[in-house]
Amino acid sequence: MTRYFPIIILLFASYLCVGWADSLVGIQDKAGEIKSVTANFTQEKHLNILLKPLISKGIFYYQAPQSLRWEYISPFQSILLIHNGDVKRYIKGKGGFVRDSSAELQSMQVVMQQITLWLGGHFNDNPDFNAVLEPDRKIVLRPKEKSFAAIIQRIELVLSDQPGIIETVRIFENNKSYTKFTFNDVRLNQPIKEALFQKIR
Amino acid sequence: MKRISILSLLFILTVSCSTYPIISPVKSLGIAEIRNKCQGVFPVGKWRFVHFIDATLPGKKRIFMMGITQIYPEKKKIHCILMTIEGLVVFDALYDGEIIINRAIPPFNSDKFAKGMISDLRLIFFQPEGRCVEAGVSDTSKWICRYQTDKETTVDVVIHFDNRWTIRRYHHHRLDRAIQAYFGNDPDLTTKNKIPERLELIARGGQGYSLNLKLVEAAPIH
Repeated sequence: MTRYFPIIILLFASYLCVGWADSLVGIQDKAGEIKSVTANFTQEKHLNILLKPLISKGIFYYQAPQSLRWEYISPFQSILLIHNGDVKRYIKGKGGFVRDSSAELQSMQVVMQQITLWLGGHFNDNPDFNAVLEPDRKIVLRPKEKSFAAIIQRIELVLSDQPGIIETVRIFENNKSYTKFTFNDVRLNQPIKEALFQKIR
Repeated sequence: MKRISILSLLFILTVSCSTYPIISPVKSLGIAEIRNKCQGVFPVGKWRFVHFIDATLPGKKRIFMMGITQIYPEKKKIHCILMTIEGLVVFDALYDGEIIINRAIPPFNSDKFAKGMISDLRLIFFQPEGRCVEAGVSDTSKWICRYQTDKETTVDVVIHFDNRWTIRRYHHHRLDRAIQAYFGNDPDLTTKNKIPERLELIARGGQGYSLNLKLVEAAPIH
């Protein structure tokens, strides 16, 4: 689950680079220029048993080297905070925000190990994924390990032809189940207050 | 809000009382007629439900998930999917007489978890198996039906005076599951289809837990 977040950050970082380079080496050279990202997102969950996807919406903030706020606004309110190696998630209920223990799952901790690699553009150094640039501004990430591929089959991101814009990210669990993220109102390298990654409000 | 809190408190107090309630027969109605009323608690036909799940686990840890449940009451068949808020499916299983696990990611990959989840879903959505051995009224209910599902297990389906309902399962005469349905003000859900806006399940015992299932979507399957 938590591997989604560094992947999405990777997508933003890599986009900027692809506009200026056509190889992973070129991307690596340029990825370090991303200091912060803010964007709105729409999440669609597609499953073969659903006639229409489940939709969630929210906003995220990223600050290099390793701070993230991933916030759902609808259909429920949830805030994931990653800051200085600390991972916390809160869900809003009847009595206000409540700490969600699922953020303490081991998989969540893996994020912190990977995020720095990706933001540094070291995609091929990532222990879990092989990254390949494909035609039509598509980057495909495939797990190296068979055991991990049973959880996430592949990740596809399609970059817009406009600088700074990502069209879609699709995270495939298998051919019948995937999650699609669409981003808009993307802002790069704008200052973000540190408190945003430390407190829910 | 206050009313719901009071209802929740009453529910917890009810759960705390683990003895069978005494069922008094109704002269004007036979067991079969009252049983028909109790059957109204359970969805008729094929349905797909999406719930936002708030689970309180041993140690008071809370986790939040999304659940998709497809039920086929006539065949007693269930397809259930559990996924994280970010959309990653962590558990996908089909029950059709036996449990077929399509996908299970730690810590949701144990047989115990799969059996427990399917058992809870069957208790929530399907009319109890076994014979209805008693039906009538009790001090606190409008109607109550008692099913003997096997030698060790009894299930009470209780319809309260305000049409809320409770399901209680007793194992070796001790209460081990209690499910309370709450209804909102949406007439389409509460009147037409009688689908609860919220379900609260309390599992008792050393590894007890509670599940709060808030309905996100309910759709008949055609």
